Amino acid sequence: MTNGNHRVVDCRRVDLDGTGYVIVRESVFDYLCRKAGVRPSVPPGTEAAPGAGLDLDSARLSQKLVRRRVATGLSQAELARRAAIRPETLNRIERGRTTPDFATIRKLVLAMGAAERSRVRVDVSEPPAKEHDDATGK
Amino acid sequence: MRLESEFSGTTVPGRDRVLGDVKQIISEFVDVAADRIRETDDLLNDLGCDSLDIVEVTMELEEHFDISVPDELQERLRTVGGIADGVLQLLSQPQGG
Repeated sequence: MTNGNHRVVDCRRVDLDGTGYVIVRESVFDYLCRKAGVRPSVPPGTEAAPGAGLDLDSARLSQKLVRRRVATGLSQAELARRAAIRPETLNRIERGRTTPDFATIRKLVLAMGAAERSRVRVDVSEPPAKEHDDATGK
Repeated sequence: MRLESEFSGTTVPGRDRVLGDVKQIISEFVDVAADRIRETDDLLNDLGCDSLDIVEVTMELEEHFDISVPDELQERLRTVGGIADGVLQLLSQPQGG
């Protein structure tokens, strides 16, 4: 994915009526906009549509979801099972191929929250490892 | 274990109080101090939230105000003032059950 120090962007260059355009995946475009600190224009009539803004953040959302899931120690399949959604759906969400609705995000947040809490409980209730005592009590 | 919310009684708090609490809760999820958040700020476009943040803000609001935000209402709550009004609307509804 990298060329020297630069990441390679998968894109197509096209020429329309003498003007050059570059076609990139929407998630890449959104990522580049964020890095550049710019916001793409919104087509007229869609500015205040309910949920319209959600389509703009699928790339950022997918990255955050993956980070959160990995932090909880859950596999993709396990999180899908706990959130009661199809593994294929979670896979598409995490790849930025689809933007989940609020209900789906809520299921994922609840499932990850429960996993985090159970991990904390395990961490707190587990006694210190025996090897650690041996190593320090030499 | 969930602590009982101070809003679980019958008295509906004033809008200023709700708006202040909403700003405080939102500020915990965005890199903006509560006193810098304006009523007209849009969570997505002005405060840099994404849909994951919005869901988490909503869940925090539900716990804080002891309310349940329906998905169809959540999709319409985009500005800070709109969220405060939505919370007030839910607090004003008689408790089901």
